Amino acid sequence: MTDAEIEAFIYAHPVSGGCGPSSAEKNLQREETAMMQQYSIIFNQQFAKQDQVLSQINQQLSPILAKGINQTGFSAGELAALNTQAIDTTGAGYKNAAVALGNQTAGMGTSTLESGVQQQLKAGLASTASGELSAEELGITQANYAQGRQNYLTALGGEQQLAQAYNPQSYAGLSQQAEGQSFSQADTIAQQQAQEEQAIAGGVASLAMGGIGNLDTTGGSTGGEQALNFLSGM
Amino acid sequence: MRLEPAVELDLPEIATWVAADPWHQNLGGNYWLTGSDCIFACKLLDDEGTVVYVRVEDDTFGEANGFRLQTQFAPEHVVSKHRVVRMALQFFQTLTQLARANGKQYIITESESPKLIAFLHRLGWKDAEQANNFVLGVHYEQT
Repeated sequence: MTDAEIEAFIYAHPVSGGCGPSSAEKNLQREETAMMQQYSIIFNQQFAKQDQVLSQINQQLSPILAKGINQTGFSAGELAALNTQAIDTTGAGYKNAAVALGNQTAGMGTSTLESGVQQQLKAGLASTASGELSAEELGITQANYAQGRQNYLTALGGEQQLAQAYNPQSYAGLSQQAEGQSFSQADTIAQQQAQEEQAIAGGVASLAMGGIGNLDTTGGSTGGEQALNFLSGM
Repeated sequence: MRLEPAVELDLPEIATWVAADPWHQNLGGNYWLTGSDCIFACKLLDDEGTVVYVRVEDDTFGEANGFRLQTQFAPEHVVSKHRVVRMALQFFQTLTQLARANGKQYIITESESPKLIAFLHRLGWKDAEQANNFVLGVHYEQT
């Protein structure tokens, strides 16, 4: 009987009422399946987190970040309202000043025709008003860019928050946990097998034990490696 | 630029791209799937479709911490160089912001492709200490 035939016999005829290597192999398969299921769960969890990161980058952050830090921040409506307000304020100021100027020059005896002095004073007043309006508009533009900068930095803050949404460390922890549990199961199998060794006589059991013997019970191998070691021993 | 999860349905495309890529023969298709063990993996798309697959991992060098970027390119007859360059410029910007938001000091990538290396150099990536590795520093504004 060749080794292969003996192996085939063992698979087809569990020794000692279903205990022994065949059972250990099933346990290992179950362990491997459980490990794969756990990895699948972890993968799906990680997928969900990563998907969330991608969505947030797409939907919220990239459009703002793509404009860079030198972007404007006011909406068209806000900008129009601010500009109108500046014009109205400056215009009202100019009107008041013009009225005051008119009152001051009323006694000069030139009620119907503006004197050259009055015209110069009004021109100076209009120039001043224009300068004030320009300054106001410059301020609005600066505020607009400041808001844009703030939006940009807020977007970065958003990225920071989404960065906290996922935690690679917790993923690593879960992986280690899965591997730890898997290893624990493999270790248990090895211990049980040792007990069975005492109970089951003959070389058939020890032959099929080759895989178990390859298991690294020092804790240096992962569950997957354990399984591979096991399979290489078959 | 759009980031979308790389899923199992993408595996045939990934396999085709990997097969045509002399630099990435050793990486399996699952390596590029969203949900694999990394910070995130995804595909980057423009209006014409998928441009590249990327994978971002944590990286440590001494006391410094950064992002390691892996990229799977398509054959040039599938995705034009123009599309790749445009995508790279946008993604590097986004990744740099993400790195900064996470307190990373650098982004690092590995390449043996002379064309890609020349491109990286043009964008300011420097040779890293590790052979065939190239690093982009993440700068922080002083407040």
